[in-house]
Amino acid sequence: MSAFQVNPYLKVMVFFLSFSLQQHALLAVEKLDTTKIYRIGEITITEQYRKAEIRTTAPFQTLSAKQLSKLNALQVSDAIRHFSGVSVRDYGGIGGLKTVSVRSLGATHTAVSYDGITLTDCQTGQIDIGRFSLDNVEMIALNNGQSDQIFQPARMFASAALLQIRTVTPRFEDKKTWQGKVGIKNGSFGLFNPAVRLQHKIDPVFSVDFSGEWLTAHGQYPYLLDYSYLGSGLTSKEIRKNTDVNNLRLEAALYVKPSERESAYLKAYLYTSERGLPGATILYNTDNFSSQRMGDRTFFVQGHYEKDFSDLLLMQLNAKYHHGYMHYSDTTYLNDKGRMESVFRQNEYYGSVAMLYHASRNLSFSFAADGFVNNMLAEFETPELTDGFARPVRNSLLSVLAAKFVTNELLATASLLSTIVNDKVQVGEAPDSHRRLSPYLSVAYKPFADQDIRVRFFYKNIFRLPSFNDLYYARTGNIGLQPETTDQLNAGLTYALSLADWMPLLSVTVDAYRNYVKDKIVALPTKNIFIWSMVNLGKVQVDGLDLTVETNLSVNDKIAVLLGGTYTYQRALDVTKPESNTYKHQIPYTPRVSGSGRLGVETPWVNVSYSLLWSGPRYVGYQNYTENRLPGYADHGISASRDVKLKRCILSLQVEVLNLLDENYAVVKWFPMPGRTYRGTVGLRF
Amino acid sequence: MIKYFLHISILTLIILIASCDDMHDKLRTEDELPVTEATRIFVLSEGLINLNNSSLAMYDFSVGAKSSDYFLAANKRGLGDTANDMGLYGSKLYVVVNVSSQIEVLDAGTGLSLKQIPLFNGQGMARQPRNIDFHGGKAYVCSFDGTVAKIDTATLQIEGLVNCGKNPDGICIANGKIYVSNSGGLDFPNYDNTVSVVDIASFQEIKKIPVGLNPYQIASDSQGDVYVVTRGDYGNTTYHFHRISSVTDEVVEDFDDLGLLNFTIHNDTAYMYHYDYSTGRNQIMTFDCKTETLITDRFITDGTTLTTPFGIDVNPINGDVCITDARSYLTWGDVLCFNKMGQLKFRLKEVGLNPNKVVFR
Repeated sequence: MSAFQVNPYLKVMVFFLSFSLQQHALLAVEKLDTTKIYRIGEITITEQYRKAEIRTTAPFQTLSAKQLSKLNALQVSDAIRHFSGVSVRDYGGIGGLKTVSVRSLGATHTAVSYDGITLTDCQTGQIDIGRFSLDNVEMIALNNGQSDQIFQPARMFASAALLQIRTVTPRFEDKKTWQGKVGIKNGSFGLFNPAVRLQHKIDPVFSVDFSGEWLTAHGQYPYLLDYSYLGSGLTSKEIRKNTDVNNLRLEAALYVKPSERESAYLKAYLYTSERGLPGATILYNTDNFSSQRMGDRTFFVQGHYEKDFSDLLLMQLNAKYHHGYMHYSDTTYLNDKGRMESVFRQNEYYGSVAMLYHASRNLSFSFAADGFVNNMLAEFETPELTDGFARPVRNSLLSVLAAKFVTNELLATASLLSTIVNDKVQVGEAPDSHRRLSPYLSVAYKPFADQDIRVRFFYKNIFRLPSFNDLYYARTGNIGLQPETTDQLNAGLTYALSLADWMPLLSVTVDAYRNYVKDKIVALPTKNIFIWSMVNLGKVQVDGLDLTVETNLSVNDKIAVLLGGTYTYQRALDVTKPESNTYKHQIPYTPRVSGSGRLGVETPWVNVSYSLLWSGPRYVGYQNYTENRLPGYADHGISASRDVKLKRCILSLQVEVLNLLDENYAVVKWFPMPGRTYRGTVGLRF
Repeated sequence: MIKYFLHISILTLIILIASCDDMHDKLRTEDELPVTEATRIFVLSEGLINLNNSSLAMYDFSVGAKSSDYFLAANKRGLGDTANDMGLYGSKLYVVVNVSSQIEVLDAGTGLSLKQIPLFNGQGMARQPRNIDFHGGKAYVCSFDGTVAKIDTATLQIEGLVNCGKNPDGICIANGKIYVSNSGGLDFPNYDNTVSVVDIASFQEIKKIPVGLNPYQIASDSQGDVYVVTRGDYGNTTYHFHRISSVTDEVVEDFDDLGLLNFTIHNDTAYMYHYDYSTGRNQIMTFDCKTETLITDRFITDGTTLTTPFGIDVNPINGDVCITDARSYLTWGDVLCFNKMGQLKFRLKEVGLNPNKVVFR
């Protein structure tokens, strides 16, 4: 920490250094401005992500592996609830769907990247972030708008918000050639979660990484069922059923670094999951609604290659093949076959090239072009439905031109993204192709040389395409849909300071924003009350405020305290039609206020941490009536951990208690969350 | 440095205070109770699927009282999920709750539940009841699993079950027989196209009458005629109206130029509405079941408009016509009550989510 109290220029250098060691540099890695410093060597200062958060032109929040370990989080979805401006739609339990909406824009506007390449699900347009374990995650980060890093694939520029998941990359100390970790997590409701990671340095050029994890749980947690939709009726104690999960994740990667000017990696990822979908609790008939099953498989292989032709010209190539398989069945459906069943198969072929050119010490330009093809096949319970499915193929070409200007006082970026998309179908009519230009502009200014205060601003116009479900799903699809467009305007202030030796870091970010969503894709009955279909109807205006505070306190040589908190205010109003009876009502499932807090105390004997998530009330329906109100909640968790140094390895022990108050609050109405939960973890690092 | 810190803290505090939770419940539109000849009106609202928010509103005109959920208030529990139909027989009100798969029998005077009748098969699968009609001390309930259940209205016991076609959507009684419209709606695109005839005495299905694709609402007049709407496949075939003779159990007339979605029959007049989902236009019509001709295709005469007709019922006491308006299906709907001349008598605003049935007492 002390390195940051030297002179400002050195601070910047060290800060950039701290990032540059990530050779495949997938995050908001500021390499540009630091080409000279880039090759000094590999130093790890991972705590300094926070420094990046206060320097960016657009809000950027990160959680490092160390911070993640203090959050009492199992999945990525648990952790990102600690970001400001985020609402996670959590259907409860380990297997329940979890999607993330940033600043009330809706989950389909959040892109998720895994080690620098975005994940896509053309079927739903949103990513279930509940499936990502934190076991091998080095860092998760959230960009509002886009990153200041302009040297990256075009798809990283193509969403309203970007959630980045970065896994641990091998770093070998001293003469080590093997290192790794094994761990077992056990917990309430049958949770059993062994994980292993092995890393091997073959020679200075090649290293390999393997990680695997198995997670199983019966997930049958008790909950209190209230028989009144208003929440004050008779109650009974029930047990959530059909909640079993069985997930397996395997990852293998090869890292290559032939020279200082070249690096590459190749990664294969496999995830399989078989789980029950407990469904909403239906009064007097929950069992029938708890018999749906889902099986899914995700496989992808992705590669990254980066080369510096000179100090001025850099190139990166990315490629990916992705296969997704999803099987859904409902055996209580009252049709002829006695079941509803569907199988969806998706493929993606993706390629990207990006160039970065340093025109001067302060100015750089980048160009990136991504081409990709997505297709989807489906099978249903009857041949008629299967034969009637459109079998779409989507061809996309994204190209982006970006510029970045940096001085000690000013950081500015601008980009223009061009999107050309065209869908082809084998059955039925194809929608029109889409061509769009999406601008982005951002500035951060540091008015005082001796104070770490910055004002920042960004504007972004972007859209999300209708998903394959929106367009082609039997009966509900509508090929006439237009993309859903968002405009984001953000102004913020960031501040960091060292108050005293006992408070080496205090940082605050405050951002106010206005978002506007138009042509929102919503479901409405268009043929019949039973047949809802998708239409472009709806405008939403969001005025909001995000606040983050973080501080470190050094009590003495041995005891350190880490404190962090976020606060979110969102006035997200339906502004579709002034004459409508929902005009200026807060949109469903969006709290006006929410926040999070975390406290960690590190001592030589034990580390203790506390985490809090809270949310104000929300509305389940479109009208802000008492009948639609879903009460707020607070979720407290505590944990204690200790590392024991053994001869050749480190033994780590952790116990966690989640949802201390044992409240079955609901994030989504009639999907109760688990009450008090215990977890214990034993790990061995070598 | 401390100064800056203070400034920032104060600024932050101001912003925080300015942006605390200012989200307050908005008030539902409330209106004065109108004057009418009925003593009580019950309005069933199905709510939205998987939200367990079916509700039963009650307006008591004799004492000027109302309850936005009479059932919930009396029983401290909700009706459940997606209540599709309701009928009054004697002093008991029968509510058919589709997704919860229950028949809720309550005292129409107190709102207290007399019995909750679950409808599940031997394997515990929900039958999903859909519609109800009454005859000779029995209630007959058709369910999505293709059955009709016979419930004794005194003992409230299920006395028997009979199989009919796929996913029945409507039930009525004529000439000692039960007529069930088999929609086959869950087998899209292979809809059913028949009306099942069940003999009441033997409680056996005696015939399936082909009527047209996707039959829905069904009702009988005093002449022994059974009328049924078919909805087609929402593509090439559209809405049609048909007349079945309960003597021959054959379709005797197709009204091909009459497109409608739903209707009810009172004193041999059919009160009908159509709603075009693609254009959002609606039409209220009346039809003479004796002469088999349309009386008017513009029932509303005073210029009153409604958005999305969702249910139509007639007050047996005075012939008033109540039409429910579901609006956007996502927001609270209204009940509009017209006199026989098609003039608005009163409007009950924001009664519930997707109001679909009105019962008078």
